[in-house]
Amino acid sequence: MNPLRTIGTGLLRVFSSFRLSVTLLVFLGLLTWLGTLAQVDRGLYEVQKEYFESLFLVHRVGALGIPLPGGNLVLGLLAVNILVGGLWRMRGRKNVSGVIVVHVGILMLFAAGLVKLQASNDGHTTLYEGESKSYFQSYHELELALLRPLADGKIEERTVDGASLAHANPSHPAVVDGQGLPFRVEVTRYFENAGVMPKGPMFDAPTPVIDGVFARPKPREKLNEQNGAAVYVDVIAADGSVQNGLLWVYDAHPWTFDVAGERYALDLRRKRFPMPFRVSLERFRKEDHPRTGMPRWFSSDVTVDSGKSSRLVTIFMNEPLRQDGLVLYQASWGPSNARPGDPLFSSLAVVRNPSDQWPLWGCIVIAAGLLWHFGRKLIRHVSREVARP
Amino acid sequence: MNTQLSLNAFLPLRRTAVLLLLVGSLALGSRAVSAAPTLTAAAHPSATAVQAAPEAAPIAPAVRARPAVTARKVDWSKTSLVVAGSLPIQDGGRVKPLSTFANFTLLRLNGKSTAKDQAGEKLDSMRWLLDTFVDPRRSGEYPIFQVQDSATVHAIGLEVDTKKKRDRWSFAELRPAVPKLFDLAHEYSQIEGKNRTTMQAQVVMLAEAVDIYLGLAGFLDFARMPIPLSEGGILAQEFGTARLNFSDLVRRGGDLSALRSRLEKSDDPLEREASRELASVLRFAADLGRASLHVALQPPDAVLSAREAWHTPGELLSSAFDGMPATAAELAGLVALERLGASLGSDNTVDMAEAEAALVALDASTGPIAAARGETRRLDLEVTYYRLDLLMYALAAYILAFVLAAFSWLRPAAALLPRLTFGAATVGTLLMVVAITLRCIIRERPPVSTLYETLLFVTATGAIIGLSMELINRRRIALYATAALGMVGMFLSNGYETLDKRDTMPSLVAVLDTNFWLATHVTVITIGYAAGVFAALLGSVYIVVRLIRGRASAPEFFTSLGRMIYGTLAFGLVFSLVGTILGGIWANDSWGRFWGWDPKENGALLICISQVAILHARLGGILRELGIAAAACFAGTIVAFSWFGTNLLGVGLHSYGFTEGINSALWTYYGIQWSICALALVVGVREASMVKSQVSEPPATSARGRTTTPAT
Amino acid sequence: MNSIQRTVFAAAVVFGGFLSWSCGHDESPTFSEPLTFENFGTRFGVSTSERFGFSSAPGGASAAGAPAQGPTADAFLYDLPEGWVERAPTSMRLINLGHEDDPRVELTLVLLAGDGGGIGANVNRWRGQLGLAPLPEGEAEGLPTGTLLGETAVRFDASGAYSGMGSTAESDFRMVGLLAIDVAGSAFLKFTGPAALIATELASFEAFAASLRVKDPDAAPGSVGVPPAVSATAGDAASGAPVVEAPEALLPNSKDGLSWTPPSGWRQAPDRQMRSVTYLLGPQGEAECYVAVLGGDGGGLKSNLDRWRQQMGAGPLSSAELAGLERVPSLGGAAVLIDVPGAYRGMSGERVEDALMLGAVLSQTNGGSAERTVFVKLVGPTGTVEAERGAFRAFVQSLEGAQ
Repeated sequence: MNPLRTIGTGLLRVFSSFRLSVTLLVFLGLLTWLGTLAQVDRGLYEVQKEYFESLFLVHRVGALGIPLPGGNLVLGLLAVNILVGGLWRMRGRKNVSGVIVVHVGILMLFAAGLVKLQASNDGHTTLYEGESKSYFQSYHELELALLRPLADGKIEERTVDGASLAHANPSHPAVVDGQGLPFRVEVTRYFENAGVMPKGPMFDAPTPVIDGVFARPKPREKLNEQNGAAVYVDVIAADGSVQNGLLWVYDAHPWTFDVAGERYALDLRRKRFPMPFRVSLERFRKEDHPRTGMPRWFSSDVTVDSGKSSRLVTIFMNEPLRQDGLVLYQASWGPSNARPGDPLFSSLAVVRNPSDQWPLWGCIVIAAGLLWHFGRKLIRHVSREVARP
Repeated sequence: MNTQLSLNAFLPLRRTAVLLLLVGSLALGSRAVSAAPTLTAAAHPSATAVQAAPEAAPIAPAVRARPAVTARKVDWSKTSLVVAGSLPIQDGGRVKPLSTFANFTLLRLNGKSTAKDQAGEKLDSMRWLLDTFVDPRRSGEYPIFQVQDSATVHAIGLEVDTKKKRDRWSFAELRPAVPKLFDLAHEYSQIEGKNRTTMQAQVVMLAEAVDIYLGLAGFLDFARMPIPLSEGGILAQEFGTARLNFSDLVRRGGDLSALRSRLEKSDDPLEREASRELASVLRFAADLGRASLHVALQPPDAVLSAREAWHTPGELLSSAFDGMPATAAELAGLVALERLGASLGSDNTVDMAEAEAALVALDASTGPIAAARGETRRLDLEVTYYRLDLLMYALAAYILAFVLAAFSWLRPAAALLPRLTFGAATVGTLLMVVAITLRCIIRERPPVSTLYETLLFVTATGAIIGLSMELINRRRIALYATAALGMVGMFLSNGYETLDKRDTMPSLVAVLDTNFWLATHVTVITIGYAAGVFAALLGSVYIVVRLIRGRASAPEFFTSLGRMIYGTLAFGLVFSLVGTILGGIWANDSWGRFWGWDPKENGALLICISQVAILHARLGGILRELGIAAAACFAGTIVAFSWFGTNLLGVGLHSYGFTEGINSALWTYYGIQWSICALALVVGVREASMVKSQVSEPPATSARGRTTTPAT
Repeated sequence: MNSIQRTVFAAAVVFGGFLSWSCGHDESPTFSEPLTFENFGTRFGVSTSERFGFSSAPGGASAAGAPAQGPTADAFLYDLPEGWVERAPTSMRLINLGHEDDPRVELTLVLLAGDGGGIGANVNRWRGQLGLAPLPEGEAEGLPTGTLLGETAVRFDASGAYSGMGSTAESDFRMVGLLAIDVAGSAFLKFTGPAALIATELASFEAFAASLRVKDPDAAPGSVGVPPAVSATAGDAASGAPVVEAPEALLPNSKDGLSWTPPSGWRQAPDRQMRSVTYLLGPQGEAECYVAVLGGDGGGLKSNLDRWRQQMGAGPLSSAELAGLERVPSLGGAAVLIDVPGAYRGMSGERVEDALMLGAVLSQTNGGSAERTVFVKLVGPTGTVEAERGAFRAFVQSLEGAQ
């Protein structure tokens, strides 16, 4: 017997087995449950990365560590299992058309998830009335941006992913090459969460003091978007001269420096993504239920200007704007302590997701398949039962 | 959903409290009070608080001696109760009948929607509310503040020796400790909800309750207390009287506003001084009006205004001064309220005929406007809904069904009993369907939009699944399960209402305000819950019966029951899976992501996973009848986790006591279902050993036999 | 190959696949290619303090924690001495200054509601920070005084080993400060640093303290801690023993935006808290007349007149009596005159049995609401005061608003 063939058949048998399906489902259930409980102490972002977007993880129960397969691994194997067991092995059998349809629908959901994981960006653009923007900004991801003011008032930007700086420390700084620039940037310290404060006379700063201020590291926040990262940078010019800067996600303006008579600035910020159109907030409306502080309705009237044409759109809860592959949602508003009459801002969540509508189609397919399959079974069963004396 | 108090919530409260103390002392003493002390007291609340303080010191013995109980001489007339009960009030963002307001307010304070007066006579919520409005001294004696823990009472400096650990207190008993209570509550309300100790949470809850009570008891302060003017002063000349009614002040609001700016701008220092008196009169009136912050009985006149917010008397006053004169109807309403307030005579008895006339006049002034605004269309229906109390009758029908079912187990041969059981369960279910339909009409919403309604809907849906099943296979199993499910479901929804203590038809926050998604996602997934719970119930029946009787006694019964479990699970899977994906699509449309691994989403996913796993395990021969029954029981706990458990993970749902109550119910359910799973193991092991000893028996009874084909 | 082997093999294949897919890439970070963007509010060359929100420069949203209530750092005006630097205010420190030469030097202004435990407790708290023993009971009240924000303040000056907020002690430090303590609200100005530097900067500190003032006292009376009503009574309390001292050179007869002509024979007494001017009258200076100015309506006409009447042992005015008071033109409006015979009781316990009080209340209005109110009060033995009745009326009418 051909050993390769044996192995092939064996693999197929393993991957198509109900036993594997059930095992994977149990693992997925366990993972979901543990991941839900872990959120209570650790916040969604961290748990999502560790439990659901991973291959392996170690779940801690007190001092005990339980190794588990991660969400990506389980779902990946499950997809293979559905392909092989739920579609390929089903061919030619009787009364399984509904089941095949359901499995196709489930695979559509998987595909939507995979595409979303690999190819989507999300963030927000926050506008006061009258303001306009043509970019949106990540809630989580960071970037280090090198800015150069241009004569026409525009800005030339070079960016580097914040994650590639996270390991920086004084003995192993992260060196960012600037091709064609008269200097290089060295990130000497990176803090995931820090506060910046002025140095007083009565205490020692744990980190270098630059221009009277220093970054004080803080423990991670449960909600990742509340972490305020800070970095110390050295700008080293070709002649060896060094300028030190302190950058913070929450600083109001970038750190400006001059090299060889040219002005530059460095900014540590949430990652920005350009939008192919410009959004201006014309009017933000918010209504409460009468005599309560409970919001009933909020909406943003925005002008969307794509350069060629411009139109007025109202975005409100459950009614997003879809344009040029981006979807804009009414996410929130603020400031939360605003008094009547104060200017309000509207925060629009922005998502680029090629698989945006796939789940809807998947849902229709699944529902159809389930109804067809179980409906037929039910009718058969009922007619048999009713016929029973 | 959260009732977190805002940081400053207790500052205005204290003012209200002080006013009430003031009013109390006025009512106690002579009703003719000279201008000067009144105005001073109003302007310096702290002064009154200090006056109240000496009372607070020797609380213990003074409080214990209850005043002589005076039985009610005359009751509210039937007309008064009916008219008052159907008065529209805007509360919690919607217009509702005053009877609903009374019901849930009393539930909130007292833990049930009836009260007892100091003599132990039972009072319904409408009588209690009218007493509180019109005769606050009397209602102050009713023990209506439920305190769970004596530590709370200790903390605010009251002696507890003569009361039980859990007991009800009257406002009169609590009154000396109110300043301390509010101070402490203000302090504790700055602690995040879940970090509060039991005592702290109880103090905050009690303070909220007292604040609510003060708002109601002080509501007619403005009507009881004409505002005195200084003798011979400019105002007394202007009005030609030494006392002003609140409604006069509102009626003359525009004139007074003009008078005030004239006096203020006058070159004559004495006229400017008169403007100070006017200012203090207005401040006093505004303080009186502020006592009624939450009782908005008067709709804005449809002709004049498209505004939505209804008015309290205090708001009518400030509008009048801001150049928006009160309409004739609004003034008529105020006058009616003043009549109602004045129906409490100087001898502290209420003139019931006068009160009735005042209520009728109030209704006549507000009803037509509210109707013209289209806000009362479903008001009568709501009054009817609560009066019919269909849910209580449904509960009774299910209990009857359950009792009949129990009898029919004792006499399996009797044919009549199962029929009666079926009849009773059907009646119960029909009542539920009618009740849910009424709620849908009243709210103009799909059947499920709050956690409370999921309970009603799951019960009704489960019962309908069960009854349909019974109609199909006529084996009585589904019927008995239906009776049990209906009874337990109704008990739970009653319990939930009591724990939640607030209107079960609330306004919805923006993201939920979409009938499309409520009708699709929420309804579908709730049907999924119902199927999951019903499958778990059938699974429990299967395991318990098989433990007692053994499969061999009636294989056909077990096969059939197993098939019912399988069918319910499959039914549930269709709804859970589609409902969960619909939820994702909704999330994608409102937040921009299909799936966010958020606890509630994960809970729904867990239900789907459990049901898919069971069906695949059945197909793969890993689980057979017994195993499926046990797995269905376990999946039932997953449904419960997803339904209620996930809400308890984060910040406390509403308040300490509430989460506590749900938690214990939840763990009881987990405990029962897991014990039944353990019983299944016992059955499996026992039957496996029987198979070993009797080799002749076919291996079909093995719970985990691999070689046998699925028993479809 | 049995099923277990197959399973293991399959797992290994899959695992390997995942490993190769997920293997990291460890390159050094590089800036992306330059792209040109519109400028959405980015500013270049912004100072460090503005970048991090430590200055209240216009445009920069202040992230620094200013206290939610009460006066904020920008409620004060002062002249910054040379060599001193401003630091970001904190929630407690409304003014937070340092010195160029030594970062350990601190000058802070802290306001508290209430009296913070009284003079003794506060002085001893500061002494504790210098490692010094508390003063004996009552001794703190005997410390020299100065002025802080227009209020009488205790002067503090001591040296020792300074341990501020829990850090290690700095030896040879000196602390100079002013504590204006009142139940209505207290202010603490504290200057700490190495003794040598403090000594050289002492004059600058005095100049700073003298220059420190509230930016707009009328806009927020009482927000700096001392409500006008309280200040007014404090002024009366101080009006106790008449100063029988030969008046020094007459100051120009205008102050606080008022000018007047003093009648002959009135002798000006030294300046007093809360008063624009005080005159002594009568052969022995046994009667006193003063002018005080308060922002707004000063608490109202009736309440002030009633308070004066109370000092003379008389009851409050009735509406009719109030309406009957004489009015004379003054300051572009009408002044209300009152005379109250009786037994005068000053706040500090002095009594004049057969006394007469002449009072006048004038308010200057600005489009309706009172902008400020001027109080003129003459009190003394009946004989002396009767003789000055005409002079008093002339004095009141001589009051004019000065620029």
